[in-house]
Amino acid sequence: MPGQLHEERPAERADAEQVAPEETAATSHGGLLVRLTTHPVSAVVAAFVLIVVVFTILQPEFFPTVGNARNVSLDAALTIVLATGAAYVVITGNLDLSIGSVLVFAGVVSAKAMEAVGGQGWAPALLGLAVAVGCGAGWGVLNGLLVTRARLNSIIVTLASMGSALGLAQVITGGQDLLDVPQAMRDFGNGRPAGIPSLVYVALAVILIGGFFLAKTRYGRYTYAIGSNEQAARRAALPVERHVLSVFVISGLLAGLAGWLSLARFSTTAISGHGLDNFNALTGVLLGGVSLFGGAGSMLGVFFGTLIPVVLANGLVISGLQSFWQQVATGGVLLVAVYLDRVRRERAE
Amino acid sequence: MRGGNTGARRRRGPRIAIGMLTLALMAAVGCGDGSDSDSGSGSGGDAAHVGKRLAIIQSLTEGYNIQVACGATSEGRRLGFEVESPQGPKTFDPARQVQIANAVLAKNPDALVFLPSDPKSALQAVRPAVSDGLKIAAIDTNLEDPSAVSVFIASDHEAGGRLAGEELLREIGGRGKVLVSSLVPDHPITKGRVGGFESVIKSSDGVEYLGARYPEIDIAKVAADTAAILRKHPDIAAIYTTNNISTPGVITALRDAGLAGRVKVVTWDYDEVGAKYLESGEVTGLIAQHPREMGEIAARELANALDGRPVRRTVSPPITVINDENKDDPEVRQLRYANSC
Repeated sequence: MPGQLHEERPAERADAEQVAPEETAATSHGGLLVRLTTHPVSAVVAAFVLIVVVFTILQPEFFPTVGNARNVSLDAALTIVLATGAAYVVITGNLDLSIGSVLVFAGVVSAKAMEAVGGQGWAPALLGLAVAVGCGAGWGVLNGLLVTRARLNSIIVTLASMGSALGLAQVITGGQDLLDVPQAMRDFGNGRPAGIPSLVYVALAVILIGGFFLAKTRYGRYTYAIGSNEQAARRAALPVERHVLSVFVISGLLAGLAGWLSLARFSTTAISGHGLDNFNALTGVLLGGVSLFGGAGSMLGVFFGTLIPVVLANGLVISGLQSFWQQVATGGVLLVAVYLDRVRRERAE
Repeated sequence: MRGGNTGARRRRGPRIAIGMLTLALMAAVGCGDGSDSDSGSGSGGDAAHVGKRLAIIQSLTEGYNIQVACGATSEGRRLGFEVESPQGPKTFDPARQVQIANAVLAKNPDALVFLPSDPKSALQAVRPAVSDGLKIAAIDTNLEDPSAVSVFIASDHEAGGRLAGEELLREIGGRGKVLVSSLVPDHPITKGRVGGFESVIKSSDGVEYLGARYPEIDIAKVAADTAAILRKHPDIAAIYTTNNISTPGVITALRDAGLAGRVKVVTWDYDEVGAKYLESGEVTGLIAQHPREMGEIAARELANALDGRPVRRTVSPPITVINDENKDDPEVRQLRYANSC
């Protein structure tokens, strides 16, 4: 993971200057050591390294291997795609609980479309991709409009669309999973160009692009500004409504993409097998130091935040523990990460 | 959270509300397409049940439920019932099932083939009708008060688990590492399927039993859990799964590890998932229930109940082990939980 995705709250441009006047990053503290220890993602990276070291000591034969790194990265790939979109939404101060259901809905409609045109090649697969991404974006538009135009709370809106999207997926299929996926798509989903699973390339591309736009462009600065202080952003004439709508579209679109990737990997719509996706993504986002109240966070943090539960689950299973313990451990790590984040913020002020 | 401010454009509210209502109605109408209703042929003798009305309430409208309804409908008609078209929610939804039950019972059927979503709410829905003389055959899940039903029909999942264990031992020649991947350890069906399996596996000397895994109900978590086990035990001989979420998760992990087809996989249910992997050879053994037969038994026992003849209180229909040797037999192929009769 390149390190240039880490600006927590980038310097505002002139047009957004008065939006978030409180502070910029902790760079004013001087020394490299101080900057490292007070950097917002230091806690999550430290936790990640600690977990890796512990499991390497416990299971030196099985845990620190190339094959296992491949397992872990593949396990995390779908959640990384979802978490990238979720991070944008959370940074604007909203929540999107619908992504797991939108993933299933997009997968179902995509599978139906591919079934309708038939064939085993890339043509139906790409059509399926377009349909999945389109469906996801459609739910994003609906969520975004209800939040910005109907002025409903995003938790309520996405709770409703979470139920509706899953319900409609079940109506479309009669509750029966669709299992027919073009061969080309299955080959892609299980393929490993240069030894790395194709899904991992996609996930890395998504989070790199997401991180770049968040940290380096006006789009990202608006995202932070709206999350920091929506009223101030309005007064500064930022297109708040349009922007919040667009982050919901990004979140939905990426959920649609994840739906297609999930089909490619599992070759089933797994209608009842995605109930935890939204919480996995949200856990990654919060573990990665994105503030639940908006305005702060970075994709580098989200990347490691998403990896931590996956590595924990993998390591605990290899160590011979029932995976229930992963939930316990992830809960503990989440509390510690949020606490350290609060301490760091207080010190920075 | 932001976005909850109801200040500015409140006037847009109603239009959006109407839009949402339309969406909900569209979804509801989508549920309405029933299959053909039939008025019954009256081919039976002069027993008391002839001409009486038989209703069917499903827990879902997928293959297994459809096959139960197929069996109940054809056997019911043969016995002289007037059979109503089966009704059930498209999604697993106990509350919706209660609404459907109320609508079905408003037409005062004489007998009911019932696959309850929930023992408690289902009992509340049918209790008044039962005191008015409705006879019920409960399938898979019994009502909270078993005295409200005439007959309870369900597969013996523990016996099926033992059959799965024997099939798996046969496939691996009685030796090697064996794993169970399941979900929801406290579910009675899971308990039966895993318990029966373990009773066979644990008493086998050549087997190293790696235990039962219960990841969260998420296909990616199942795959990740199995992948980690395979990392530790790449020489695993066989995996037993108990449901159709675990199976694709486990097989994806086996594919990722390059072990698909080499590791034996025994699982439950001849639904779309089971049929697909049986076809590809990635599932080597399948425990099939007999849903159509369950529906037939239900119709017969309800006829007995209405005629005042003795009724069996509980019935466990047969279970069939499907493997490479018999999977192409016509009578085995018929067991598939098809989406039509």
